[in-house]
Amino acid sequence: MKTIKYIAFGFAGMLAFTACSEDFMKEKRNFDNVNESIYDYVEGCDGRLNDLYAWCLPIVGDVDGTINRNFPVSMGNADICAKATEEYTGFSSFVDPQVELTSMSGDNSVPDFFMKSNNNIQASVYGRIRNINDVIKGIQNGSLSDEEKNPLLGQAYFLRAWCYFNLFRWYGGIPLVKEVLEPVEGNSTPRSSAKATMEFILSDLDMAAKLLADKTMHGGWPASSWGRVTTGTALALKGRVLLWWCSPIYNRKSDYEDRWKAAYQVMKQELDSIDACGYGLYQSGSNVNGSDFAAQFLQSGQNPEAVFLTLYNNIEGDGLDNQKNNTWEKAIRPKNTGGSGKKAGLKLIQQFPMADGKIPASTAEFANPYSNLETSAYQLEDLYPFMNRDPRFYRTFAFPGFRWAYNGDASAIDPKNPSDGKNFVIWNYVWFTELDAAGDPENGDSYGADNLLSSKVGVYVRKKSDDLDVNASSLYQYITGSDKNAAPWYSAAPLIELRYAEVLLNLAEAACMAGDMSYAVEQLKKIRARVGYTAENNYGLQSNLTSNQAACMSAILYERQIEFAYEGKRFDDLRRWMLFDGGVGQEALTPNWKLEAYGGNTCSWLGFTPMNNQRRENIEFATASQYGVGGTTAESDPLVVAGVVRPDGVDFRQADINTQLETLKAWYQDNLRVAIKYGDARDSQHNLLYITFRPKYYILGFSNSAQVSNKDLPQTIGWQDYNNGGAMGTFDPLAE
Amino acid sequence: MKRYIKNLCLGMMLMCSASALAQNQTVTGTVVDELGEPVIGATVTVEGTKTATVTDLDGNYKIAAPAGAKVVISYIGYLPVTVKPGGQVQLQEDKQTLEEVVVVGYGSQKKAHLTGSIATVEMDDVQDLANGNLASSLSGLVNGMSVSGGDARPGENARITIRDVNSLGDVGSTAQQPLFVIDGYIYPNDIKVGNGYQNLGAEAFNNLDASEIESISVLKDASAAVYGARAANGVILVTTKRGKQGPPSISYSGSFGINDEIARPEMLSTYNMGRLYNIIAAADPTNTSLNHKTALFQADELEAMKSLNTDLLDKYWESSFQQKHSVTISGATERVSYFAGGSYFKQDGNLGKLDYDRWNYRAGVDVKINDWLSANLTVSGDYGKKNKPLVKVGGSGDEKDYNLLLTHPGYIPEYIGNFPMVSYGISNTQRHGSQAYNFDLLQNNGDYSRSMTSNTTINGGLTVDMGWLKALQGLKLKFTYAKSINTDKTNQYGSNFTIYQMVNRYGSGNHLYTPTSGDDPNFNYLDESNFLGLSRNNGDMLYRTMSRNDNYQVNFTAQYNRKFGKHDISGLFSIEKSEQESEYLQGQREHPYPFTTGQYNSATGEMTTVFTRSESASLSYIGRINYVYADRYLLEFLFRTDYSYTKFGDQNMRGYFPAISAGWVVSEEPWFQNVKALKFIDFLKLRASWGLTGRDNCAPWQWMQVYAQDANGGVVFGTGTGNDSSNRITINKNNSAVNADVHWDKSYKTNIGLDFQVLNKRLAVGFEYYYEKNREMLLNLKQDVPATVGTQSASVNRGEMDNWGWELSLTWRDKIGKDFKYRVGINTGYSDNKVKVMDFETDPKNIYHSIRPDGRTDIGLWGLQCIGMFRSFQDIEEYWEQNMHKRNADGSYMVDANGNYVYGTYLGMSKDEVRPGMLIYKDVRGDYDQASGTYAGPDGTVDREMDLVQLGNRGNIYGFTMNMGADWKGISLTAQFGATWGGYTTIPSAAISVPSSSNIEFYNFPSFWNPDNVYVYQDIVDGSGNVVQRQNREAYYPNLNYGINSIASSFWRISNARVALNRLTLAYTLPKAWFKKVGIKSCRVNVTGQNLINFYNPYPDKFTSPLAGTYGSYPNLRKWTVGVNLSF
Repeated sequence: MKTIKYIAFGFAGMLAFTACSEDFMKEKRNFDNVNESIYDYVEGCDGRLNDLYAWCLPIVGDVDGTINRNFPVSMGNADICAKATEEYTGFSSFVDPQVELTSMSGDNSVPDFFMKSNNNIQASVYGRIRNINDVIKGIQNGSLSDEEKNPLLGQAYFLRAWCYFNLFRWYGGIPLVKEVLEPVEGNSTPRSSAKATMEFILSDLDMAAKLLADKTMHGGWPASSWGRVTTGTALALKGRVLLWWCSPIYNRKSDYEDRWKAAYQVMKQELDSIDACGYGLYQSGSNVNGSDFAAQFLQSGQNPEAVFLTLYNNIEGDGLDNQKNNTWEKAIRPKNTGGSGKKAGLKLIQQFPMADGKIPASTAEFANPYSNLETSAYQLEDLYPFMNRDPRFYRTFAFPGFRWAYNGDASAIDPKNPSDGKNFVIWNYVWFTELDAAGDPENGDSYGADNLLSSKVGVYVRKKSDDLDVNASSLYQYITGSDKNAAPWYSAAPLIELRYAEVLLNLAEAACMAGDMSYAVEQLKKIRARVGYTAENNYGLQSNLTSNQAACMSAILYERQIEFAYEGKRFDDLRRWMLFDGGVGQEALTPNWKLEAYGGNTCSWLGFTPMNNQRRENIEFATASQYGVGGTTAESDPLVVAGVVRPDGVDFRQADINTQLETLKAWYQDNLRVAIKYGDARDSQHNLLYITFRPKYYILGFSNSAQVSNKDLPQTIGWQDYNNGGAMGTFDPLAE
Repeated sequence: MKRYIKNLCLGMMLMCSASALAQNQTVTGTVVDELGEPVIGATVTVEGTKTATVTDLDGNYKIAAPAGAKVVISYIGYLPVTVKPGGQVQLQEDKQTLEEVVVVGYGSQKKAHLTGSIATVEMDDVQDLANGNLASSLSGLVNGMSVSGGDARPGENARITIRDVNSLGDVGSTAQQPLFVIDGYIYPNDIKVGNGYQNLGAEAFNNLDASEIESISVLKDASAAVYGARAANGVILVTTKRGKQGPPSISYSGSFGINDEIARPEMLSTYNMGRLYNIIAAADPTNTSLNHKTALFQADELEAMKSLNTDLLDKYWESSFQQKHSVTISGATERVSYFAGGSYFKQDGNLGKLDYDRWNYRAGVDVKINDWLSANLTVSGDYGKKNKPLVKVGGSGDEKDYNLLLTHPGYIPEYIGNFPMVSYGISNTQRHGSQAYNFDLLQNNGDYSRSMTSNTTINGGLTVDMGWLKALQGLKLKFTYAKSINTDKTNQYGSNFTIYQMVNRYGSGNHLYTPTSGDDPNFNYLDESNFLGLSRNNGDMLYRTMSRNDNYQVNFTAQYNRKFGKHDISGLFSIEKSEQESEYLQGQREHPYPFTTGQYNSATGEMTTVFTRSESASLSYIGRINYVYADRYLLEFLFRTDYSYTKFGDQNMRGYFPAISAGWVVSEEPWFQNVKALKFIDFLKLRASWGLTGRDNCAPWQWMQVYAQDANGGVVFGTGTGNDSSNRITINKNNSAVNADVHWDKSYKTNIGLDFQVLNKRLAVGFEYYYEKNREMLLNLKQDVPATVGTQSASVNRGEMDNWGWELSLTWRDKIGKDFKYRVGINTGYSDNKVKVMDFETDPKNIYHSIRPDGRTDIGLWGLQCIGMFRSFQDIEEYWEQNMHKRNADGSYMVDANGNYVYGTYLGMSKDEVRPGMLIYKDVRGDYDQASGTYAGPDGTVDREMDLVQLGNRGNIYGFTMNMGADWKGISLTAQFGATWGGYTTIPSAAISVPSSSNIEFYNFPSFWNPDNVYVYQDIVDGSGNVVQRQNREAYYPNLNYGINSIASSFWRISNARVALNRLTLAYTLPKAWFKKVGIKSCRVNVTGQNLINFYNPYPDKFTSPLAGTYGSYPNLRKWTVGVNLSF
């Protein structure tokens, strides 16, 4: 009996023991995922920050009108933005006269830079912001020391500012989500004004600059952290934000100069802090024919020029997604070296400065839109556009007969391709299969030399190219395997979103508009000096820039157009300064938007020919008519058939290029002719069409998909409100 | 009370001193059953005492009893009798089963005292069915329970659902199987293994052998609330066998069987297939680019095809063998009872390397340590093995083997000489990867997929009867522990192989693989150079997964059961704790050597490894109180609290599930018994139950923000060019949505039942009516979450649906004459539902044929309405003029700016694209008007989304199952017959369309596509000008070339009725006398058939049978087994 008693009491005891504890359940863990306790570890915070970087950094992709993986940041491709500028041809929907973008459903929907797929936290803009807010909250609540937290938080604040800045650029005022919101019905955030948005971005950037100061104000991050943002990055972006805020697009009132002055103060003052982070113009000390300009894009070390950049590697993945390659090199290279090539528009080719730093005088229509700028002593030679140009010209375009060396051998994939990559000269002249095709701007049936055939491009974009003549240790791996088609795959070239040159030009712009033109010109000179200009000819700058504000401003915009060609900046400059139409017609959208500043027309004020009502064409160099026609094969090249000997390729490594150019010119003279091809579209009756950028495009409206996903979001003035039966939007982002 | 104790003491004294009492006399007697056969192991107790004994092998007993005392003789399944000891006593079978004890959650109850809707399975009905999975043996045996699948491939399990849980899936919640509880152990129903979820309960249940099972109870209503959070889909309780009082008894049962297809789809002959191909290829009269020589079968080829009827399915399909053996040993003495059993089941496949076998074992012992303390321990488990062919040619899929054999064109040989041939059709190029599938090659080149499972369960318990303490009489304390370990592994090997293409083929169009009259006489077709080797692979990898689940459940239970006069009170309180963990490992390596050993070091390619772990735990408090007054008034109260942290977090981890039920046994009322008019009613009970059960069918951890670890995939930092992109910790699509408030689904269940027996208990009727309110159902509701929030909401507890229905069971049992007994049971019922809140469709294209608010989930069958066939271009013109005008608001024809009429499109086509030989569908409706919620009338556009009509109101809503049985002198016949009707379906799309048009080249069609009855616009001529197919504009079937003809429409509608004889068993119990001398106590033989006869076939040309399953997939099998049961 006693035993039973013990057992019974034992039972009772065990009952009591189990009954009171739920702890064993809470010990259960989620092994598939981790939770917010990761924020108690530096590694965890780093991992989260890496995620933010991965989603927020710009990539070498297209802005195709939608947001793909990353931001709608134009990076030099022929995308919807760049095709509205002089850089490329072919109307993007922003400038297509036959298309009026609409915020209602339909074929011509305005690009949605606002949200995209709202159920995907990674692909949507506000999903990324949520992700950043989660990191900020997580780190703040985590148990790390302030010393550890600050630089982490600083980077997160920067990335949030960067995300909002990219919305600000398009929409002016937007909803500012500052914390992680519950995903419940109707949890909407009101739309802020452009001013409040700008101020929020600035406050994030100031916060970032402050939090990152200890770590980065002494020459930046250590080499192993190269690529992270710094105090300097934050302040440089701040300069850009201020510039937007001061520019005519958001600054239209008669007291516009006040903003410029305030911005100038701040930017000038903060330049030291930017420099303290190790930034400056990239200069090697051995600049030949603009080689420094070219080499600044090819630095795998701590490049002072790269204030805000995305890094890549040149490894082939091992299946674990560790591969991250820059595709630019492959994209710009001609087909017979493994790429596809990008077609440069004739307009920009014409507008590049001549060797004396001045814009060419040209008889070509619209070739020189800057009436306030002095034209060059050199004549632009329409048949030989490469004669006597600014060194940057040769680093931006590739013409038949120029060296464009690479580290590889494309004949591995096709024996007809030129084999010696190290001495590769691009010979992309074309021939026709019909005699009269050369004179016909519509006929595209031409074939390129050296096995380019139908994959040829008239003039190649070569900006940012990893030119073996500039950089002997290429950043890419040239893969000859058949599955990779013999091409510069796996490039580790960094993608620089914000260069130090822009820091200076931003500052110059603010200085100029604040009335301190001589400070502005000083900055221009630094840019020009790196190219190779000297004080001898005043760095190729006209003398009245320090006294004529409009001329000075023109010179700055021109410098930006040239310096940043194919870097995705031009469309923003055109919008910022309202250079499509000078800002005329804004008052028709709402009286309040009338451009009171700049005499009501920025183009007139600047002396700039508006982009609207212009056309852009392309150029090809075709075999001279005496050689007749060719066939569709590489062997049928009329010059090869005729046994024409090619001169050596123009080699920029030699200090004297003029002789080489003369030789080439002579060869062109004998063997080639220019063929102009229509770049922009014509209508179905073959009438020429002209660039038409509509006034309402400066500040975009929300597309219907964005509106459907945000029922409480008010539409911008000038655009129809899908949520409101198509009534015109009433929200004024410019109202303060 | 006092008297009771006194009696007890007296009894105990008697027992202790039985032999000492002088006035006892020893009496011997015999107990026999209705057939006069001895009953072994019947209990014989001296009335009012504890003196008891059991009958021996011959049914004899010997007992010492006081003079004049009576003995009570009882045996399970028979009515107890109280007689004077001695002589022969014949037991009567207990037909009423009212005294039967039914296993309910955490205990058992007299059937007569049940207040909930609890059904039991007659294990006798199951014993002869030799199925690899227990669930498929249960189909049709329990009213309100449906069983699907499990009748086709060996080793595949059937799926059970109780009442109308299937409709949950339509609403967007998760439709789940019931909870399985075996010997008190609640098997986890959703263990995360790797990336999938495993229902260990369903697996354990299906792996049970019928010989191990004592009883199966099905809790259909709120009585399941005792299982709380996982009980909303019903609960199936299994009790396994224990030893029975008596000497050791050994029994064997075995069966051998043959499995074969119920029906094989009738396919076109090769000749007709060739003709159909021509009809398809030359369908379009406007196609002028058709090459009549190369793109069509030529006359000589068609002629040759008449004799080419290689039927690969026929070649490889064979009836398969199955066997099952089980041996059990059991027995009990007063202190110890034991049961041990082992069984083996094996089913071969009918096609290639496909088989399944399983060993089961179970050993259990119950020990009474002393009067107050007892213990029990059971160990059981199973080992299963399944071999499947590995098919990864042209995409992976288990059904590809059968499907590709079935549809294989008869003119393409598997081999020419020693060359295995690729199934290239008329164009002699690859149109689809599947064409490289060669059954013989892949069965015999060593590729395999083998999986093995091993499950072990240990149950132990200790019970203390507190009766030694006066005040605690009737109280028992129990401690039970159960642990299960489940391991699985799968090994796969997929090879590289070479398969051949015949470069130049026979026939004047080069389409055949065998000589015809049109061959080039100067060409040697069989020369080696005419065969091109193609390198293909069947996965080209080695692959292995292993997983192990460890789970346990421990219960501390206090049970109280005592009778105070007419008051019968029982109660239960239990604390239940369980933990689950699972680990999974998967490895793969590509490019195995041709001589691979199957291990990692015998392959050369990339190697990947994945390993994961998951765990969960729960804690529950369970309470139950039963009160019965005078067997008349019944009352039960249930309560359970469940806790789950992993699924619901801190805030919502607790769930409370109460239930109450009551019953009134009217027939026990004294007044009832006094009313003569009611005499014909032997038993009448009314009962009702209400309760709350839950569902925890959500993924764990969605209540908190979690992050995924992503090795690499981040960004590159650092100087240099070769830095890996860094690791990152990310919020991704799968874990971005968070619902902090996620909690249990709730299902409020009401059930009203009526049980009665009349006509001298010959007719038993059970009626149930139920109404379930499913509330706070967890589903993905598209909420209006602004995009600026940055993420969507996770599943939310918002769905609402009501399910209701009734179930009626009628059982008639009677005897004709002395020896002929029979029974007929009919189960029928009705179920319906109403959806109140779900993520209702908002797309106008779908609104009208989707579930609507307050509508039912069964929306019926929708399709286009076919009103004929365009038989000429004239027909098209006329149809266009009459029907395809777009209209203005006032009804007038719309005109464009040039004054031309504006027409709509016909299934996306303009008039120019429509061809004779296409079906004509009716234009039913136009645009949707958001404001009024209505559709405009015909709009001149025929659209496959906007113009659907309801072809069938609902699915099969009528139906019944009839279970019949008859016995005559040891011969018994049982049968199950089932019928359902009322709904419609369409001919399976696989039979009326091809996956993509190019697949027609290597794809045969069912026999109803007789080319003589398919639309042909004009004579089809081959390259030599021979007419190979005559114009036929009056054909019944449209031209198969046009995809629009295979859209579900009234043209393809058929009845969905099913009428079938599902089962039939003929058994004979051999007279005992025959074997008595060899020590065999009983012997019974049976012949059983399953899935036997289909009585109604709605398919055209009866090309397949409704009983056979999905067209194009491995068919359901008809089984014939011969079994024997022996006991020693």
